[in-house]
Amino acid sequence: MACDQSEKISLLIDGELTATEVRSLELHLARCEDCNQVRADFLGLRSQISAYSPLLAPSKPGPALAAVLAKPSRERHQAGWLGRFLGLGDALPVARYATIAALLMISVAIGTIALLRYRPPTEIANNKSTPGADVVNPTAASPDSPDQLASNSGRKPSKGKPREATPNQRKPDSKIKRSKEQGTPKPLPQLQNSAPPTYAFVNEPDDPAATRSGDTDALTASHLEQSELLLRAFRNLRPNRSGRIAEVAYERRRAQQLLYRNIMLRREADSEGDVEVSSLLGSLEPILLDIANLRDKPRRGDVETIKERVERTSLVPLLQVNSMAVARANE
Amino acid sequence: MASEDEEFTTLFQDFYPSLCRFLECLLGGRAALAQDLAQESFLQLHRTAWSKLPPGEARFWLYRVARNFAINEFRKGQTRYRLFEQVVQVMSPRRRNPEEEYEAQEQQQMVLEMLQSLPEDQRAALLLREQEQLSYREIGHVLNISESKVKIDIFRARTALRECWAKRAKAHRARGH
Repeated sequence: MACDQSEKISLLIDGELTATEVRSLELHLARCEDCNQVRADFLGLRSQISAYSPLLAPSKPGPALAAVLAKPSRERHQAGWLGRFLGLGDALPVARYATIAALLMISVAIGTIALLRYRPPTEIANNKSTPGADVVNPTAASPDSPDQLASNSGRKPSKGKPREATPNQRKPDSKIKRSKEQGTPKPLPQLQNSAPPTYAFVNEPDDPAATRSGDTDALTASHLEQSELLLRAFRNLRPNRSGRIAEVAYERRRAQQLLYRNIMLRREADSEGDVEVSSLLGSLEPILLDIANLRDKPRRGDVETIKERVERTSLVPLLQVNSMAVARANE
Repeated sequence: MASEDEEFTTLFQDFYPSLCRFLECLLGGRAALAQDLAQESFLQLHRTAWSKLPPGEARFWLYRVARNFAINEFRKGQTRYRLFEQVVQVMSPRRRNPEEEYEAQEQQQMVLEMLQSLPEDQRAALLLREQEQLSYREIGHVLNISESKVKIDIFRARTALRECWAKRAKAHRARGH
């Protein structure tokens, strides 16, 4: 090609040239066949690329999208970042779980060894610790209190007494919990911290303080309570004279909103190892999903099926008890 | 909270399909994986960044994170999903008659193959331009590169695709005669 204006043509079709440049290039295009061909080719490519339609059509927007959002997230979550890191996303469940379990055991072993070897510097500096340090009281110690680190060592306080010859056994779980509740940086090794940096840049916006704050418990309690109310309201839906349920638009929308939160909290509970809350949220999720997926004017049978499932799983009383328990624990 | 959830739902409805398409083209047609990653990106957004992002920023954030997920997938290896994707392709519903379907599929396959011949950064920039109609400035923001790099990447991508297209057309004509 005698003249090469293709870079400018690329900018022209993207609307990235100034008015003057556009005019001058248009004049050139009017008399240059080669450049005209370049423009036609670029535009042809554009139409080919923009006409691309996904091989597997994404689910239609609306409540069904909430379902799509929820379902694979759960599947992926089971493999989790660890599974994804190991390339186990699509492996057989048995192999996947076995590998994850083995890795968890190794991590726990490493963590335990580290715990046994680790003594915070403050503990070495002051062998005396605060009275009642073993009692979990989130408001008692300031986050940066040195005593808190000392209390994290798990040693029984022995004010005024010489240290016992045989130190009390350490309680890593309670220490981790206390540290979490106080919202302090964890001085002790965590399983999560052993994560390899594969997803480092994907997780850039992650804010551990936000995801692990004490607010999670309050949020969980409120979520359980709201879900309970929704299920109660849903349970009370009665068919009209024609035998149809009048409308469930509100319940549907509410379920959809709760579903998102449910997914988040379940994942949170999973990562915190809170099996009880995680399993409760896990059994709530399909119910929320089903309600979210109902039509605005659903068939009676559809509603009854969900009601039966709610009854069968005793979700309403379970939610009630747990929301109270979580709220109380949070106090 | 409720209004935030509603906003999030709207965002999901607006951008989920296009994010799937972007990822699918980026990943060379691995549709199921693309949907999976798109959902993962939305979950990440909801979980970590939703309340912190300034208005209008979520879309760019989503594309940035989705692309990062895709890059991670490239690093993990290319073959794992191939068989599954083929099954998906075979099993996915057809809307047109078989002949049209075949032609459309061939065309799509060709687009995918051509896109795959590009370096990843050029491919991402071109897709964001052609499919999502983002400006150069916005593309630079998503991909964390300068506008001039966007300009060069898109131009190089187009030039390479044009050449590739010409070669294919030539080969096609040769086969025809």
